[in-house]
Amino acid sequence: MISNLFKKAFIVGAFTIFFDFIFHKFLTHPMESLTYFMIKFLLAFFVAIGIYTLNNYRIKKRFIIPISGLIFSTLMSIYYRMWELGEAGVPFGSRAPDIIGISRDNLILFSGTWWFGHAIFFIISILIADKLVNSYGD
Amino acid sequence: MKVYIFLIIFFLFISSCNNKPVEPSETSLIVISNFEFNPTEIIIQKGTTVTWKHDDSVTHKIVSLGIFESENLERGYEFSFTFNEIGEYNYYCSIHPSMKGKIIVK
Repeated sequence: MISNLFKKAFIVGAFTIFFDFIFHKFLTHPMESLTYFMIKFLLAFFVAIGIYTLNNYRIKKRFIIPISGLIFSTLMSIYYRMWELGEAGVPFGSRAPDIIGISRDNLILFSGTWWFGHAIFFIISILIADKLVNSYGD
Repeated sequence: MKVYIFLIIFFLFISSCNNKPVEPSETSLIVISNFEFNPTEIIIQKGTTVTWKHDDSVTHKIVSLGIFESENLERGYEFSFTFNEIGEYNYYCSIHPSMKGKIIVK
């Protein structure tokens, strides 16, 4: 039997990449690769496992959820910045696709949009998972 | 009159038979811009050298697994490869894997 912890983490991963896919489909160019979405799913899954196993999650979820979103987004950024500078040997930020309507030259707005966007997708997914699985009697 | 009709029909017949086979493209230059290879697909003759010209805002690296691999290309830089074997060659940007192209060598 699948535990509620696993179920919730899976839902978080699935919804995070769903929102991200929609974002990439309509607001960025080019579309991201399957590998990218798989990495993002796994990262969201394990970060979700991490926060759901915190003893005080239920009590302090108003603080934990936003912070976990920022942690998730930061980890995703760290992964790709390390890949750029290490394995690929390309300049900082080369991996990120264009965002429609936001210039890459405005580094703060451009990277901030990525960072904030990823965090928001994760946070909404956590809230959805809490709602869905709790309604089953968790 | 019959001669004219014959000539018209003959002319129409000849013109309808003049379906040239699709010629391989003469294009051997592919421009990389806006995260795309332009054109995405080309047909070339065996022995043609294809040149990719980088005209984009970010770094790209062109790879066809086991066939060729460019250096990291910045704006203004080029990469060339000569296709001496007939076949279809799929390639992509290893930094942005969704960027794909194809070379058909005849």
